[in-house]
Amino acid sequence: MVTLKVNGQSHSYDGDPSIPLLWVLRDELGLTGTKYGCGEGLCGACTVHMGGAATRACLVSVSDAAGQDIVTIEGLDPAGNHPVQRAWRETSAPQCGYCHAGQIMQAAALLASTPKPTDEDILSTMSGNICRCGCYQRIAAAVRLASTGV
Amino acid sequence: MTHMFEPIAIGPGLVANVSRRFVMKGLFGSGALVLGTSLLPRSAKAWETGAGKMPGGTVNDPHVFIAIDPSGLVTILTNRAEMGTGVRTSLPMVVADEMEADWARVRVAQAPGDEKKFGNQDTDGSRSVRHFVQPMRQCGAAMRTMLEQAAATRWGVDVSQVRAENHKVVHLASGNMLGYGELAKAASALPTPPADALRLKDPRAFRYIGTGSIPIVDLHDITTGEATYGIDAKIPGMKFAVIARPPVVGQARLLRCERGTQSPRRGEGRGGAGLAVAFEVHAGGWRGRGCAQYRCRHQWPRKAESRLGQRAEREL
Repeated sequence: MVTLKVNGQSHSYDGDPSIPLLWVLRDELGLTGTKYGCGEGLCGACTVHMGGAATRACLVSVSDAAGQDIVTIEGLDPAGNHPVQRAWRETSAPQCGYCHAGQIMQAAALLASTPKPTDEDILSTMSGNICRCGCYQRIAAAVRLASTGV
Repeated sequence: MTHMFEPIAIGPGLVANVSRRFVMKGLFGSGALVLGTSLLPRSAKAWETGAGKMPGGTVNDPHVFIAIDPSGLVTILTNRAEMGTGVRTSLPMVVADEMEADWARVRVAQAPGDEKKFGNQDTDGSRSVRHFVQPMRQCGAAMRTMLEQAAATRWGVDVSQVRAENHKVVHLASGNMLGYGELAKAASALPTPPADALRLKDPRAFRYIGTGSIPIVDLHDITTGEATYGIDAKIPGMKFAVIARPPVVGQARLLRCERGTQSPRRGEGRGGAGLAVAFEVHAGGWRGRGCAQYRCRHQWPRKAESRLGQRAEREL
């Protein structure tokens, strides 16, 4: 039995403890905002916060996530108005949007640790989050906007 | 605001809603020897797109695409799928513009898969707008015409005495107004006017088309994780499948698959390029695509392994 703390709520999970956190979030807890992209930590679509750090949910087993504070896109802000989310809307950053929950979580973790990132900080931190639509210019602009106040 | 609607031609050589006198006056007034249709805005002429040859063709009937609530809320169906081009916003926006709907009071809904009813739904080839901008404009213009007719009937005046403008119909002489919600029932009971009798808007009067002022309708939901994608959909009794790619194209053949509580069904992709393993998920067993994927280990034929020196067995 594993106890997960997701978005401030505790959940018990009694299945295979080696299953990736991603599938428990999506299939067991119904938090489908976190997306499956590659399953190998290569794309960043499944990024969540674990203990405040941006983490690929496809690479972390449920047992390793037990007891940690996990935040998904659904729990980033109660009203969906985190500065990064507002900046994303202000800049119309997404196209299809599939990777953007991961992008937003990555950006939010960056700003939590580095409130005033340089362009280089932004590009290097966001470089692990792949966008098939190619929204990179707007993503960078959105992170910049979120860091300067929306 | 000046009324910007202009008479327009639909169909080859056909001038709709334009009296001969109007055309002749225009010709003589300009002193030029030109064909009547050249007086009309170029963009207003009907054109062939190839959409008619696609399965299901095009549909432009507002009874199919538009619903107006008595409160005035307009629901516009989009017949294409969103894949990042914004078409789920673009096509309803075209309808809203032509029907003089206020975008703030428009809701977009996804049409189910039914090409007979909604026209071709094959969202590919970057042609959704090219193929459907014309039928969607006709759809919106037909709805506007029906709303104007319903208002004219209510007031007992000729339809030429009224004008649809930003979610309401105005009686020009008196300034009386009826909102789209008030006219919804009567308007939707009217037959769809023929396309060649419609007036399309002059592009200069567009509220939304080409202005770049409308964000995609899913913008908020994308940023909060509420947007629903194919992978998020749930249907009762659905099965889950995973696709495995072999190290060498043409070598996909399942040798072994470890399973948990699921029964794997397999099918090989065309040319051996991939392998789909479908799972029936038993009650009380693993749930979801991800779990199905996690439980599947597969083995490629040795030939594929040796060609690239990759591991024969690989956990998906």
